[in-house]
Parts: sequence; structure tokens; C-alpha cells
Amino acid sequence: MIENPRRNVHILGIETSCDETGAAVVRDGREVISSVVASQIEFHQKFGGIVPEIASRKHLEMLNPIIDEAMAKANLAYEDLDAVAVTIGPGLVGALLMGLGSAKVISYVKDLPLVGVNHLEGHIYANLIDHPDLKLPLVSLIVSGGHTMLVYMEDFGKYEVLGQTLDDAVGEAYDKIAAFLGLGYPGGPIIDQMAKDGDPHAIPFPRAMMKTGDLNFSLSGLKTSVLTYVSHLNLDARELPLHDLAASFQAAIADVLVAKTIQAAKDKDVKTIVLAGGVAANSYLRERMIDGTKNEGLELYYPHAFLCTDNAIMIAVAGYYRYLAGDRVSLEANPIPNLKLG
Amino acid sequence: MLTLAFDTSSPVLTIAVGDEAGIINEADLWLPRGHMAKLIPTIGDLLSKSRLRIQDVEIIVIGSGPGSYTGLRIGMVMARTFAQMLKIPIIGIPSLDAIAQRNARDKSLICPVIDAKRGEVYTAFYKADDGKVSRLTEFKAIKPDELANVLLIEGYGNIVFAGDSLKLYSGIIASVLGGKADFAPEASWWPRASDLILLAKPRILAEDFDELYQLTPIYVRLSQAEEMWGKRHQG
Ligand SMILES: [Zn+2]
Repeated sequence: MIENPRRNVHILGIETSCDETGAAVVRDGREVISSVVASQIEFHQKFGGIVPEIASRKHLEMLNPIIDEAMAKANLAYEDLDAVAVTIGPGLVGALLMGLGSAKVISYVKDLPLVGVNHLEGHIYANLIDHPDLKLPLVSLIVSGGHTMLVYMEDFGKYEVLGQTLDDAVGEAYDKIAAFLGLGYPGGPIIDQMAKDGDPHAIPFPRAMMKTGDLNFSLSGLKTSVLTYVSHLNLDARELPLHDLAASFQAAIADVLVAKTIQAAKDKDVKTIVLAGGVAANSYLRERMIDGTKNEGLELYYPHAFLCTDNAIMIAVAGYYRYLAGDRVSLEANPIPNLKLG
Repeated sequence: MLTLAFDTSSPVLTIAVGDEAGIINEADLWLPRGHMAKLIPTIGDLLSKSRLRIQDVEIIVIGSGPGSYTGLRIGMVMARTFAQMLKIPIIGIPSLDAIAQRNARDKSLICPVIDAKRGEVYTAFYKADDGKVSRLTEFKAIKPDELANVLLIEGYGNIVFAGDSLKLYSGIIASVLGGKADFAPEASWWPRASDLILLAKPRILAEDFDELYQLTPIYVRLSQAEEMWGKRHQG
């Protein structure tokens, strides 16, 4: 179990790495006192993906009101806080700058320690809210619009990346396929919903990297297969079997994710598997993971959907552990857009 | 009122503390891409040199652009958070106004020209009376030859140009305007925080403050993605 020695520690978390602006207050790394997230999806929707310049502009507009709202909902004064935790990477540099700039001023004016958090560890730590007794070591599958990786976490702050995508992230592949099929943005929830009425075995899309023996992923081949499949159908002028397409596409991705996650757990001899990131909210992936891990006698954890997508709770939770470890960033810190885990 | 002013829209990080009586201390540091790292430490140095604490500051004045988008946003988010945390008013003063003020010459038109990328400059026209500038136009992004031709047609006499676009475009401007163009030396191409305080003074006295949540940088342009989307969906 992850140690939780101190009581009554309040951390203000701030998250601006991508397209959600978030602030949250969390007590002792477990108890959510308040959380406010403003999604920018509506501003990026018509472009079919995240526009970094728009993301930066929106973070700047939203961040101060959101911090005020999170503090008001927490019903705490800044003097009651123990630290400010902020995402320093990975993410869009212009977006990260907004959270870090703001957090620095809070730290300086209110004389609070400034703690820098890796966004990816934040995703893993989001699980502690719903599963406070999570056992270490664990293997985490982080799947989101920007990331697809398997991480071995031996202890707090000790990470080893076991494998990752060589091209597109899972969420990115969902977005591209949804855009190609004209289904809208973001693609994950839309395809997940359509797939419910489809046959996952209808179309035999490739399971990329299944037999490579390593724990890396590749999704560009699958994307090409879907495009090729659809363009052939168009030649035949048949109506697109959207539900079967969505279901078969999801199945091809889930097969590989499940197999490699279980392989990772076996390689590292761990019993605990943790899902993290926005795509961890995907209902089909969850079902497949539940089945797959049950058959292997593994314990599976995943957070509530609102904790899967980007939020500041997870930053405050991870920040709590870094705070306890005495880990601080200086007021001269810059964001690290390509920050690695471990 | 004790005022803390800064501007991060240019490669110069400029910070000043002052009040109605004048400037107490100022720092102007050449720090391309260094604003995020150096803003707070430099404010700290300036305040301690002035025997002040951050809690003594009563108003924030921020250079609001136009200029480098990233630079502007760093200054703006930090200025907003200072005002938020200290619970004090904030005023945005255009960075171009500060460049014009720095180059104020009575009987001349003052025309700051700063790099807007894509072959354009950000500019506005100013006149000076008794050494204090007032802005005559809106901010715009414009091609330098187009700008020079507008000024030629409008028949201005002496025109003072200042800003980093002179590095690229002083030749084009001179070829159109000849002797009417007066190019300021490079040392005065950048905004100075002391000029921000000077320009903010009437607004401070009138308690004409900005709404914290509403104050945003002067971008002049939409994001490139929005511009392209607009073009594709015209008519
Ligand atoms: Zn994320």
C-alpha cells in the first residue's frame, strides 16, 4: 500500500497541459475538497483536433476564475494550504506556461511550496481517489489523446516505461478515424457509443505489433486499414457499416492493449493493473480489461470517468506525494513539454 | 499608489516599481525566452532593492501587447494572478503605447513597428504633446510597404519609426518615405515598464481599472487556425 503518513495536508492542484483548465483542492492525497474543470472542446471541435494557440488563449482566460472557484468551493483560505502543485510536463508548451506562471505567483505571494508534477504520473495517481488502498508495485496502462504507454511503478516516484506507441496515441487514432468517417470530435466517446450496436468480429482489422515480443504499440497501420477498407466500400457504393466498423476498430485496439498489458504484468511479476488517461473511460476497453485480467488472476483498477480525463485532482494527489518527499521546483522553473516518466 | 509594472511582449524583460511621485526602481533585461524563469526573481530583487515587499504593492500594470503571443501570455497570466492573490486592481497598457512613449517627439508622427511574422508588422499611429503620446488609430497588422504608402498618401511630415521590424524593413520604409522617415536607435525599440507606469497614471488617478477576468492580451489577429477556417467558410 502507498504510505499515507501525514494528515490534514491541503494541496491546490493546477492543470493546463492540454485542453482542459483545472484547479482542485485535495486533502491528504485522497479526499477531494473541490475540483473545477473547464473543457475547451467546443472551441477546438470545428478544427477536428486541439489547436495549441487557441488552447493557450483559453487557459489564460479561464485559469484565474477557475482557481477562485476551486478555492471558494473548498471554503479555505490560501493560508490553509500546504503547497501548490502544478503540471510541468509533458504537454503543449504554451498551455503548460499558463498553469506554471500562475502557480509560481501563488507560491511567491502566499509563501507556499511549489511542487511540479508529471502529468502522466498524475493520471496514474487519479486511481487513489477511488482506490485509496491501491497496492504497489503495479503496471499502469496510460491511454489518452496524447499518450499510449505501459508503465511499471515499483514505488512512489519510481517509474519504468515498459513500452509505448511508436506512432499515434490511442485517443489520436480514435479522433482521426472519427474525423475520417465524419462522426465528429472527440472520436473516443462517439466510436465507443456506435460500437455498442456493432459486431467486433465483422471486419478483421490487423492487430499490430501483437507478435513482436516487446511492449510497444503501433496504430498507424490500423488507421490505414480502416481507410483502405472504407475506400473499397465506396467503390462498391455500398452504405458504410458504421457500427460494425466502430466495433471492429475498437476490438483491434483492445486486443493488443489487453494482451500487452497482461504480458507486462507477467514480465514484472505484479498482480495490480491500473488503467489511466482519457481512454480509460472507454467502456469497451474496460470490459475487455476486466475479462482479460480476471482470467489471469490479476487485480484491475480504473478511476471514475471524470478522473480519467485531464483534471487537477490528479495533479494535487501526485503533488501531495512529491510534497511529502520534499520535492520542490524553483520559481525559475520552465515547463518541460516532453517530460519523461522515470 | 505603489505600482508594480512589467512587460514581457518583447525580448526585453522590463519591470518597474513606482508611485505618483515617480519611478523607484526599474530593471530592463535582454532575455529572449527567459521571461518565465526570470520574472519573479527579478521582481523580488527589485522590491528588496527598494526596501519593499510584494504585499506593499497596490496596483499591477501590465504591458498588454501587441507582441509575441507566448511572451505576452506569460506576463498576462502572472499579472492577473498577482492582482488576484494580492486582491489589488490591474490595468493593461498597450506595449506599443510604451514604445511610442519612449520615442515621443512633439511635431512628429510616432509609428512603432514590431514583428508580426508572416511579412507584417504590428503598428498604430501616435502623436506627442508636451512629451506625452496619444494614440490616433487602432492596432493593426500590415505589410511594411503598405504601411509606408499609407503614411505617404496621408502626407505626414516627420515620422519616427521604432521597433524590431526596422531590422527587416527599414529599407522598404526608406525607399517609400525617403527623408521623412526617422529611424529610432535600436536601444529604444522595446517597451519600458517605467513608461507603462507613466501612461497608466491618468487611469490610476481616475480609478479606471480593468476587469481582472476580462483582461487579455491585444493579439490583433485571430489564431492562424481560425483565420484559415474563416477563409474556407466565407460566403
Ligand atoms: Zn492527460
